[in-house]
Amino acid sequence: MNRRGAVKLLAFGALVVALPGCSCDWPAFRHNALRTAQQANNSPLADPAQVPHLAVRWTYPTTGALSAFRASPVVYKGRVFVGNRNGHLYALDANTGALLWQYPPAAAAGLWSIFTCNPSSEGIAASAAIASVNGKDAVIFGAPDQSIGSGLGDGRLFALDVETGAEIWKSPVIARLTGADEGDDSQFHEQIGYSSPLVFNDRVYVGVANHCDNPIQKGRVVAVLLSTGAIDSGFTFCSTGTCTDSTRGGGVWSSVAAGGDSVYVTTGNVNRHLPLESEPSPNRGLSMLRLDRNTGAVTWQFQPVPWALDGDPDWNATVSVQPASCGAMIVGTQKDGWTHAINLEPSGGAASKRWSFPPHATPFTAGDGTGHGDTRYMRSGAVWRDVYITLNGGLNLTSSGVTGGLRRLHAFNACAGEADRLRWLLDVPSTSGCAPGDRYCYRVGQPVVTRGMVYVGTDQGHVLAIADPSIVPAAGWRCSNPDVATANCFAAGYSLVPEPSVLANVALPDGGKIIYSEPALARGKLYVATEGGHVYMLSP
Amino acid sequence: MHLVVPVALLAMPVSGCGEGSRGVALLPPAPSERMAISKSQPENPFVQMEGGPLARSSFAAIVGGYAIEVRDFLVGPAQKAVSVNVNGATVFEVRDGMGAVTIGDKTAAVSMGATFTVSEGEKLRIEARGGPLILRAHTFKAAP
Repeated sequence: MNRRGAVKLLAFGALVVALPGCSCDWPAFRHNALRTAQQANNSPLADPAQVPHLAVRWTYPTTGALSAFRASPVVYKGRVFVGNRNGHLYALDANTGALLWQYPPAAAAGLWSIFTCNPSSEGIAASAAIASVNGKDAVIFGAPDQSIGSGLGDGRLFALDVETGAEIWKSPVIARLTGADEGDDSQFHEQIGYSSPLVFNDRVYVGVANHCDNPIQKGRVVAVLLSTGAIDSGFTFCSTGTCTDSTRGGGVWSSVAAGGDSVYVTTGNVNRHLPLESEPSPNRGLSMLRLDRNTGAVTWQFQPVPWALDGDPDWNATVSVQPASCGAMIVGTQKDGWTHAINLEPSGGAASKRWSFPPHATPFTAGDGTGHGDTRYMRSGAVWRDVYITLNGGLNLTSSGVTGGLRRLHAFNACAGEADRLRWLLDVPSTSGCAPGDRYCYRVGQPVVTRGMVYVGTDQGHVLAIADPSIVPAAGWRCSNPDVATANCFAAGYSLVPEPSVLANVALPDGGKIIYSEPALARGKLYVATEGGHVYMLSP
Repeated sequence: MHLVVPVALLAMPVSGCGEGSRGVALLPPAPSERMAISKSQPENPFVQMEGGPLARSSFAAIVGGYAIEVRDFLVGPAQKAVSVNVNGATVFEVRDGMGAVTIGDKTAAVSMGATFTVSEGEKLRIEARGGPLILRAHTFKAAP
């Protein structure tokens, strides 16, 4: 590394230190601006002796149920904040589950759009974020609002006082909804959807996607001023062409990550669902991008799936900035099941790939035996120092189909060579079983981690605690290729990898899915919201 | 020095809460004796064919007087070239890895994404190079 590179990294490090990465709370989606999903502070949730006692301690609401939760809880100073499909944001007492306030008030209609097509467009679909706004603690979230713009449910950001729920500011329209006629490309069908706001320095960043590709819209990242909610016109990012032309695609379904002088974002499809005759220029779709945090200018772009192979593998999992011992990298899994790690610093102005799993040259090419469709790898991974834990299509991705990995966690050694990349592998256990060949019957959500203890929800309403084999001995050994039995593993050319121990497998009372949302780990307690319409607090 | 300081600073916000900023060591390899075998084993595993590759059948049907079977073959990198009896006209796809195939007396290098055909009765030998080679075979023949 030359002096200039070292200085840049030093500056990055200094800026990153300012992020709330050490918070004992869980103040943002994936815990912090790096989106590491890591609770680094010690607590009973990291103690292998206590974790088996994990149990539900309170439930909200205590009777009945709300509509589905797709957003995740955030936790700050004894309060839990979580948005619901019904368009209300709830503030709960973190110790008791008692309702402190809701926004809008119970008697008022929820924040809702007239154009709903899937969970992304129903009420509040993304997690909130905590910030200090002009010296006051605030909870910031995105939602559709029929009181502005077209009156149909344009998307905007809200900043509320964490103590009272009083409005501090409401942004102007960020995501335009000017009609609800499916397929009508004369209307704007934008939405904030699953993009959780990123609070970074003096701005709040949020992605703009669309309503079920019907039709697809031009993907954008919008920044507003943290102090007022006004749109920062100095920051612009659009996924295709210019921000004013008619090209479309590259919806930003993910949450923006940050570190140093940059923000990081992933984008959706361009060539699918559109009768395009030629590729837009520039085409930032299906990419992981590093953007200047002040201007939105692209520093580098990593686009593994080119326009010609776009079968709708939106990159909609939020990426993590992994400050690994071998150097910082940006890591994430695309919807097609491939995980890619890109060096933070570009090489010759271009993205510099560190590794992919399964290993493969990128960009992919026609006839290379790979396929890239809407195969649902939409969950973000977790960073524990040099380890990255995620859903992944696996070493049998191209030989056996991609869906098997939807119920399997992979842990990768981010700094190791290819032979040691895979650290461990776990088929997250099912309680009700799956019919043979039914690979969609049991899926897992977004893992989070505290000191090597991984927590994850499932679509059967379970919360599991899984111990890295460095802190609890492995339960057993299996072949790195899930299609190969242990006995044949070496002969087939693969290696044996450990299967970590499952220390807790708690069935939540409502059985609601926990795959869009993540568990939040704060001060020794785990908070999770389900599609069954409940918020639960668990502790050992 | 240039490397140490930035990396330490990078690590602080996520691992500096008393856990230290060092990396995570690799896990030791599988023990050679008394190794616990995972209960997670494949539903349809590859099975070693005598003197041949590992194989599994993923689809078989008899339709309109034709027998159609889809099989996967896995050749390990330590194996020498193995013979495969395709037992019918077969279209092969290379699903993973690279290697060489010999059909009759002609040898060709293949890699992921390649396709080739083998007629009924032709001799086929497969060799993996550099890692495992996985082929999918679609075989068509008259129903018995």
